[in-house]
Amino acid sequence: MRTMSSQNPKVTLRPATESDAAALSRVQEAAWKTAYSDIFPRSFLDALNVPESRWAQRMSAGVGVLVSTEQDRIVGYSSYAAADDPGWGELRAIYVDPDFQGRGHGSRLLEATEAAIDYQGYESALLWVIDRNTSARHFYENRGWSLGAPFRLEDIGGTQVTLVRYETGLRSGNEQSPGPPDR
Amino acid sequence: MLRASLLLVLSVNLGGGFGEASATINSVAGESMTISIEVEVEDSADSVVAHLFAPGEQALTIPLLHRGGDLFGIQTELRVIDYQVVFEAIGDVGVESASVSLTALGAEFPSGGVATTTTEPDGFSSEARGWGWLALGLAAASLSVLAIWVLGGKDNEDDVESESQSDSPAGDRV
Repeated sequence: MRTMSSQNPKVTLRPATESDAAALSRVQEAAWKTAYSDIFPRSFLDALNVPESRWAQRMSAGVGVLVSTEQDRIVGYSSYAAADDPGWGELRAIYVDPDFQGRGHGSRLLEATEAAIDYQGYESALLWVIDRNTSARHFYENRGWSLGAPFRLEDIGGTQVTLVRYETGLRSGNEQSPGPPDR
Repeated sequence: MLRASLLLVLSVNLGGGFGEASATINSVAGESMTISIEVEVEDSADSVVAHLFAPGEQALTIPLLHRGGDLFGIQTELRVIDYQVVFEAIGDVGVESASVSLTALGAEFPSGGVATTTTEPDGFSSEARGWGWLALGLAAASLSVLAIWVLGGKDNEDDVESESQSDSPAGDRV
């Protein structure tokens, strides 16, 4: 082996467990309040409350969740699942605590999530992102995702938003028997 | 330099489509440890995952990050257990490594209190592992069905709908 990596020993990435629920909710709420401050009303963001119980339900329903930690603190997560479109995996979310952005957590989560979706046998992955979330769009574009044709409208907290679709090829489209839950 | 040399010695050549692999425990806190796992892939691979097994533990599949060239790795948190590890490279031709323990990969556990997994179940061949995945998948599906049944269909549908709305804007501000 050529060399061993010498990265921060306290930065890790792992599958989430149900005991991470509180931290996952905290990260999502914090990230939303920053990322969407120009998109959703302040009153909506201030009242945002992601129930901890939702995470166990998501995981039971087949949603994979990866967490990125720093100094033993969960500072970001990604979630993924089968998309509504047959044959597509979906990156459902990547959120990083605003206090820990710019440290590579998002990139690590994205790469690991692509690998996890690839492992599940999908040839391609898609995601939906609010069209006005330009920083997120640049993030994905810089990492090989391209804008797809479809878009959709949603009402989130009383605000009409347009979601645009990004797509990426997962290269192998691995075909194999069902694997264990990625968690 | 000395540490690097030691790590070189403690890595193991897996063969069968994989090069050298290693595991290094960075820290231990209570029942969890921070560990780095790395593996070389001889042929080009699109993705590499590590499957970890231990008696009485849920099997874990952890995606590895590409660290340049043919090297993939991850720094992750695990329970302080000498897991058995099977690497799987995903590409045009998927390959799985032989099962190897973290100790064999060079992980040095603190003395005492470490569960070991010296061997896989007898006959745990690649084919058997495939059936094992299938069994795990079916078990997970059964649990999901049970969970849906316990939660009640309507409540679950509502949750999926609300989750889809709240989670779909996959924004990141890295």
